[in-house]
Amino acid sequence: MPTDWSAVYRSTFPALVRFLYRKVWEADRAQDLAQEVFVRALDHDPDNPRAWLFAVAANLARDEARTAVRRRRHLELIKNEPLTARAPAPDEELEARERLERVQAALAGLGERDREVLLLWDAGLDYDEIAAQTGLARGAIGTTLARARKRLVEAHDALEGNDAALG
Amino acid sequence: MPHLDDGQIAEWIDAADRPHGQTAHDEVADHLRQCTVCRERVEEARAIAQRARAILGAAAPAVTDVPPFDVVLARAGRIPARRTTRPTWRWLAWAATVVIAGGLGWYVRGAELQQSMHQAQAPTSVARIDSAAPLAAAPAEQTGRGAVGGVAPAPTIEGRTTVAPAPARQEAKQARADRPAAAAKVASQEADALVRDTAARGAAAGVVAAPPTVAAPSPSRNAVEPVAAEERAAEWLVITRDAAERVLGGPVATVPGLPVTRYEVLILESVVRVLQVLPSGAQLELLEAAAPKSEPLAAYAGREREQGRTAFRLVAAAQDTVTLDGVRVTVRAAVTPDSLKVLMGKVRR
Repeated sequence: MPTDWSAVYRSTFPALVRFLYRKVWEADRAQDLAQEVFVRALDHDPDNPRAWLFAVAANLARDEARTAVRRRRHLELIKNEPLTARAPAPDEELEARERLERVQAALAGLGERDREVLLLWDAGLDYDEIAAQTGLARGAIGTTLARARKRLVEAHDALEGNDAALG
Repeated sequence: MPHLDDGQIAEWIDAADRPHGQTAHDEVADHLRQCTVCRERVEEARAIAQRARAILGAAAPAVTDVPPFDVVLARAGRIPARRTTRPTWRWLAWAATVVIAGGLGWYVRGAELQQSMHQAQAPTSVARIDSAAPLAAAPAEQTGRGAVGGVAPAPTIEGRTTVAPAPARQEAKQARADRPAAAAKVASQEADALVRDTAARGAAAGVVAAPPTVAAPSPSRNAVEPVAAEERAAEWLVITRDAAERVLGGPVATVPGLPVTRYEVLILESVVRVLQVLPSGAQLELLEAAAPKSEPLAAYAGREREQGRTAFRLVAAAQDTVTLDGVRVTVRAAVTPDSLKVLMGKVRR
C-alpha cells in the first residue's frame, strides 16, 4: 500500500522541525531542512517513513553542523565588521534567550548517543524506532534514556542555579 | 523478583500508554504492587522525565507553522509552485497605493514624467561598502556614480548561463501598456517590494539605498499585466543549499564570508538565486541557471523588465557577470561599480 505522504507530513512535520531545531538552533533552517527531508522521502518512498525521516534529518543536521563550522570560520574574517547593530533586548527577550542558551548548553554537555536518544524520544519515537535509528540494542534504550534525562535535568538546573547566583 | 533497574523503570514510564510485551509489563506491575522502593523510584523517574520534556520544550521553535504539503511537492518537482495568497489587508494597502500612484501618474506628464522615469532607472542613492570592510574598498567620492551599466550580454555560453536582458520583449510588451491603473498597480508592487527589500537590508546599517521614485511610473513604460506580475512573484521558492546544488547540478556560487539569507529557485526554470548580506547591510544577489537551460534565465530577465520590476530591482544596484569554471554567474548589489568589481573577484563556487 503506497504511503500517504500528505498524512505523514501533517503528523510528523512539527516533531521533525523540533528535532532539527535542537540540532541547528535556527527555526527557519530547521523548517527548511524538514521540508528537504520530505522532498528526499518522496524520491525514496521508504518502507518505514517515520524512522526514515528522522534518520535522514539527523544526517542533514550533521552536514549542516559541518557547514556551520565552515561558515563561522568565514565570518571570523569579517568579525570586526558587525553585520547589524543589535539593539538591546527587552527583558522578556533576554530571558528567553538565556533559557534557550541553558538548554543548548545542557544538551551540549550530553554524550552524542545520549543526546540523540533523548531527542528522538522527545520527537515521539518509540523504543523500537529509537533502537533502529541509533543502532543500540532495544534493551539498552531505557537505560540510555534514563541516564540522558537525568543528566539533562541536572545540567540544566546547575546552569539555572549559576545564572540565578550571578543575576 | 529483584528491584527494577533504571531501564525497566524508564520503559515502564514511557510505555505506560503502549505496553511493550505484556508478560514483562505484568511482571513489573506485580513487582511495583509489592515494592515501595521501586514505586518511589518510578515516581522520581517520572518527575525527571516530565522535567526533561519541559526543558526541551523551552527549546522549541516559537511558532511551528506547517506549510502546505504542496510546497514540498513543488520543491520535489512534482507540481508547479502554487500561487501565493495574500492577506486581505495587503490588497487594501495595494488599493490605497493604486489611488495615490494613479493620481501622481496623471499629474506627472511629459518631460516631468520622463525625468521621473529616468530617476527610477538610475541610482538615486547608492549604498557603499564601507572602505574599512575587507570585502570592498570603494572611495567615497564614487558614491552615486551610475550603477546600472553592467547588464549581462546575451547568453552564448556552453553549459550554464546567467541573466541577459531581453529588450525586444520589453518593447513588445510596452504596446500593452495603455492603462494607467495597471501602471499604478505595478507601482504599488514596486513600493511593496521596496519595503520588503529595505527591511531585508537592515535599516540599522544606514547604508541602504534611498527609495527611488517608483510611486508613479509612466503608463507608457513598465506597465504590465497585473496577474502576470503576481504569478511571477509566486514563482520563487525558498530551498536549501542542497536542493540548489541539485537544481544546478553542481556547487552554488556565493561570496564566501557573507551570510546567506536564502537560496531560491525559479520554479520549472532551474534558475537559482542566492541572497547574501553585505557588511553594509545591503543585499547581494547571485543568479545562475542549470545547464542546458540557458534560455529560461534570459527569459527571466526579460520578464522581470516587462513586468516593471526592474525599477526597484536595479535602482541603485550594480550588476555584472563573472564566469567561473565555464559557468556564468550574474551578481547584483546596491553598491558602487568599484565595490561590485571587488565582490565579483570574490565569487566562488
